[in-house]
Amino acid sequence: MEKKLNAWIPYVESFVSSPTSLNADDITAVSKLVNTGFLCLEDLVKDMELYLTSTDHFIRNRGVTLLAEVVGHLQSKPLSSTTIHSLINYFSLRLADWHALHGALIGCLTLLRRKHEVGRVVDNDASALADSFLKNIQVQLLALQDRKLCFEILVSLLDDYSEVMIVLDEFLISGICQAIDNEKDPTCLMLTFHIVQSLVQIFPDPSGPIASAAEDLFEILSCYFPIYFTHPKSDHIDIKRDDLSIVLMNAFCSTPLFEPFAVNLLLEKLSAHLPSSKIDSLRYLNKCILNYGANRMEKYCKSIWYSLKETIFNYSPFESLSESGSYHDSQENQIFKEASLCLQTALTLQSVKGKSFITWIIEDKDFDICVSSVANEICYETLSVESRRLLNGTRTILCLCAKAYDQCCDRAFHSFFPRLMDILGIFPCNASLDVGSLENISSRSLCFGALYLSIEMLASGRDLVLSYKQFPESISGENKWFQLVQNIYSPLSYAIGSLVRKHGFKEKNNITEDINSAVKGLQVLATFPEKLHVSVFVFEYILGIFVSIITGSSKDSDLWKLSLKSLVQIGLFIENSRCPETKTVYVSLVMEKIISLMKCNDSNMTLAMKLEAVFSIGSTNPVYMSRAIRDLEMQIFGNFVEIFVVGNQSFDPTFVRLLDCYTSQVLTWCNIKGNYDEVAMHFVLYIWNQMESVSISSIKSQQDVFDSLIMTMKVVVGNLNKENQLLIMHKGYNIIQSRIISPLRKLNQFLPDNTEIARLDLDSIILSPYDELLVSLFAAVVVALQPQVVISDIKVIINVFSIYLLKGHVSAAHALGSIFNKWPSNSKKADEISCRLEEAIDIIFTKGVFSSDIKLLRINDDIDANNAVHMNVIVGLGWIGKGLLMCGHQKMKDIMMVLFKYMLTNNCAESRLPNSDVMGNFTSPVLSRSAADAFSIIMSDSDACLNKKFHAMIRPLYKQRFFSSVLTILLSSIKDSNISDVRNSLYHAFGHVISNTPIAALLLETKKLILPLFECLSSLSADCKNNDLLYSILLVFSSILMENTGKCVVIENVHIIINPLLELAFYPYMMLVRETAIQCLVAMSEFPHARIYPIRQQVLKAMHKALDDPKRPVRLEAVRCRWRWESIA
Amino acid sequence: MSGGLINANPTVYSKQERRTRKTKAEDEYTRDLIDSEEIFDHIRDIKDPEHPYSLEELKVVRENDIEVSSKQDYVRVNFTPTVEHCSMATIIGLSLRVKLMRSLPSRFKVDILVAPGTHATEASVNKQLNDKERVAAALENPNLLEMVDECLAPSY
Repeated sequence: MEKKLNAWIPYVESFVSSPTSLNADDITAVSKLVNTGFLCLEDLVKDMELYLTSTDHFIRNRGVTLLAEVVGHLQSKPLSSTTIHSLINYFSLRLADWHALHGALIGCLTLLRRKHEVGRVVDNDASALADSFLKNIQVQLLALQDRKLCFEILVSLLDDYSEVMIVLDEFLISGICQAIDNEKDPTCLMLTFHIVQSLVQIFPDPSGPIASAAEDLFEILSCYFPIYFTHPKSDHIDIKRDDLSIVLMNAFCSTPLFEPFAVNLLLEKLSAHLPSSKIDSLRYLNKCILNYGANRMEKYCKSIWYSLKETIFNYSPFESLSESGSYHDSQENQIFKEASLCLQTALTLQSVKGKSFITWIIEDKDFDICVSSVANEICYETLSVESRRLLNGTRTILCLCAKAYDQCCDRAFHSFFPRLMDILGIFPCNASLDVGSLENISSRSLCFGALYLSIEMLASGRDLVLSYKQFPESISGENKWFQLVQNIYSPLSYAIGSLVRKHGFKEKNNITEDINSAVKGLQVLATFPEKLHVSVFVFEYILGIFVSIITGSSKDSDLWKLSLKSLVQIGLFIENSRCPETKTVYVSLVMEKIISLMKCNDSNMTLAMKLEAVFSIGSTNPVYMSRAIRDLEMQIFGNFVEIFVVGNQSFDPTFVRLLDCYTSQVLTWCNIKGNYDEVAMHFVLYIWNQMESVSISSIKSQQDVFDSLIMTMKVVVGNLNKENQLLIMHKGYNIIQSRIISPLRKLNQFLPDNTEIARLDLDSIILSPYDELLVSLFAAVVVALQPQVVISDIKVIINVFSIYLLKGHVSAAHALGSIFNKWPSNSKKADEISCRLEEAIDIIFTKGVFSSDIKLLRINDDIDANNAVHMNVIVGLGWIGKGLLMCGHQKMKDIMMVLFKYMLTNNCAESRLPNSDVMGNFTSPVLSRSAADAFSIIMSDSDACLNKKFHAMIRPLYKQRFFSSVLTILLSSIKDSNISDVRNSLYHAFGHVISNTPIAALLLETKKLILPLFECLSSLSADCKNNDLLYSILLVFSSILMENTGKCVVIENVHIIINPLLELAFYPYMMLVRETAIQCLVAMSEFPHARIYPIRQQVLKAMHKALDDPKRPVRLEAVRCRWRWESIA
Repeated sequence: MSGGLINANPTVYSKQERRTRKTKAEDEYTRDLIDSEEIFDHIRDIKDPEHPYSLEELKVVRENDIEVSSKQDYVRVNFTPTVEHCSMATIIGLSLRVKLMRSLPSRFKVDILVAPGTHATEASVNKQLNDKERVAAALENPNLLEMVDECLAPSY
């Protein structure tokens, strides 16, 4: 006992005597003791008696608070019912003690929040607590923190002890009214709104105690509507205006008893000018209509309708008519959206005895007049903003009516649709009349307003019908709206059809809104449910119009696209419908015709249009899609033979286009449908079979045909699964083996195991065009393989690629880079290919062409040819280095050193010049520059290979790693070199490295970088060929300027970098460089005054000159820059 | 002045849409001549001394009222005060002049003129605005300069 006392008493003393409101450590320490059982809660209470009953208010308050907090920490510790009983009774009684109120409130709240499993407050105690609470506490006189606690207690009582609370009846209601009245704090308001909602829900009886108090309660709530909330964002309160608004809305709608007060208030606020008030009113009204019920709302229908009508007309969007969902999110549009939603809800109101909501709309004379006037508008393009709003508003209202429910739709159609048809001059007639005469009848121009409205109504009606799972018989009965549509179905179709057809014949025309809605109209008419008993003739007629536009009679590309889109929509609808008749018509009229387009050559459509049409229509039906794919393949294969076997150049553009379509359309489709491998294998195997059987004499085609084929091959193979990739690889290898490796062996030029390729006589190897194509295709396959696929006879393959690389084939370099990147890392796989990575690198590195000893590379005495071979070697090193770097291999360092040697050997060259031997000249500046450019290959991302799409092994942060390993060497080499050419190359390399390194890595080294960066800029700016590199380095500088760490370094060096930067502001070869340089200067004007004041005059002078720049954007930047620097004085 | 605004209720017009002019890559070396649109871009956002609106919104300056001759290095801007007796006309004119002074190469001669028939003391305002000495003297006055700078601030 002694020990225990010692353990906790100091904490209690420190807590009670501390003036701060909370001392968390003490509480935690004591509650830990209780939690672990060292101290019994009863003992604690007994021993704290002195504090709990002290006559000193302060000590008593602290004592009670401590006890409450400790109990709060025991939420998961089971307590006996007697303990809880005595505690809650104690705290309830303490509520009367104003000085100890804070602790008592905390105590009550934590006890109320206990879970059932660990012992909770029983109903009787809760009732006593509520009683004491209501009698003793005047909430609004308390401080914020205590008020919040009070409200939380009320929430707990109402939510968890509602049965007990009912007994308190009016006492409870009046107490709560008093407590929440005049509350202003947002966090407390969230609670009070919730309290009101819970309160009215526990007294659901309409004649119960709430009925008499509803007015008072609502008065308290209504003061807050609409929520006016101006707390700044930085405030610690984590509540937004919308949160408050939603909780208040729930309180508003919590009981129908609020109806007499709420609806009028909302309608009044709706007519206010403040947009946020309008939005809120509409949202609340929407929810109230739902919650109060039709009978109660009936008397407001008229005023709701008038308010909504006015709002919709005033706030309808007027920018465009198409796609109502895509409006930008301005307040005006939000009002419109909310009003539409509200009207949609209101339309569902059907009271038992009174009028339904739609009646008010139909009986509204003003609206009637409005419909008539809007329907008579002839042309959309000439309408004023007001008329456009009116049109859009009318459309919205009519559509919502037609979409609501059967009877509503029926009444809307009967009231407005015949009038629209009258204006259009369309009268019910028999569908069996022939097309010609019908088109003649309706050949005059159609009134835009009526056309637009009727089509939108039809679309909404159709949506309503389609939304039923089962077709209701009630719709199609006599005198129903369906009957109405059936009667005008044919004449309307022909009228719209002739309008579209006429437009299609016009020479050149912008698509107007009436054509837009006419096309939509045809689509709507064609997708009416089959139960309408639509005549098949009309359906055929509509499809015929679209097909004729697509197959070439139209010169309007917009109309063409619209028609295609409509046909696709109709196709999708037909796919889902159960009517075989329309399906047959669609297949024979549309599918067959469009799919066959691919084969016929005499149509006046371009290839791009044909492909788009075929694959769009094909996408509606898998069977036809596979036909389309087959046809496309046939075309591609035919072209392949024409180009590569026959040598017919005229097929080039077609071939490229077809391949493009194949990768973009076919492969994506197959990926989704799951038959990718089947289709893709067919494609690749065909190409291999062709390569195996044919002989290609010459390739005259352009490089882009070649590139396109190679790229397609890569993409196709890249997405195959491993097994199929292996198959493709083997097949390719076999062809290479028989057509390339064997002949080389025969020539005795090629001994795969220990040849030094450098000793090869390159000139004696003559590559035929066939060989080039074959190796490039095989390289494409190798690039796209997954790492798990093992390449057969890898040493030989590496040698083959090496030879091709020396001959200048970049695709071979891509393949080599890819091979080394995906070299299997685990030993088991490595066994399979019987060659380790190091060994493979040796093949090409020490024995082979990429020997680090440059002398070995001397092949013949012709310097130009020699340089060319070396340049190919450098490119190869770049790609192999990239591959090794990405997978994180150590050998990368060696490659880097070779590249450095190339860049630096000019030193030797110059020193050897006097000897004037061939060796002396042989590393020219050209080589040194291309070695610098190899750094760009290593660092930048490539589409051609070594990326995610082609399964490259990418170690994270590889760029950063390379950057940090190369930076020191680069900087020291720059420092040591004294020949301008060499230094230039080094700067180039430096530029490539930093412009491709992520900025976060650069920022760590800014101190080292900043001066070389500007030297680099100065060096590059001497030549106009370096524009792009220069610009990207300047961008690096500007991003350094944006970061704080970078900025500090720049500030320190500002006096040095200002001169080169000002020079760049006048860089004559590229506008973007000048503009960016000046933007950097603008950013620098924010630097500390003392640092930049000395250079102010210099900058101002330069900017004065820059005002006369030839380019406008530069001049504008200069004006800004000049002003910024002028105002720092 | 009695402290009231000279034109308490000006008509505010909508702003003209900003055009972005693209420079093609091959145009790298051709010269964009300074034209009325560019001058207008310089001055459209200058704030009215009395109201929080830009000169463009009040139609004090309009693109059509600017004449530029790039070859002869000459710019003429006519501006229209919102009311005939506007005593702010000189401040507006001064702001226009200062802004163009700071934005154009020094070879340009700039004339700032009140649109004919739109101001009661047209001649004297014009004379003040186009007299070098007087403009220089006005800018020596710190109060005046502060006022002008305040008007110009939104235009940068």
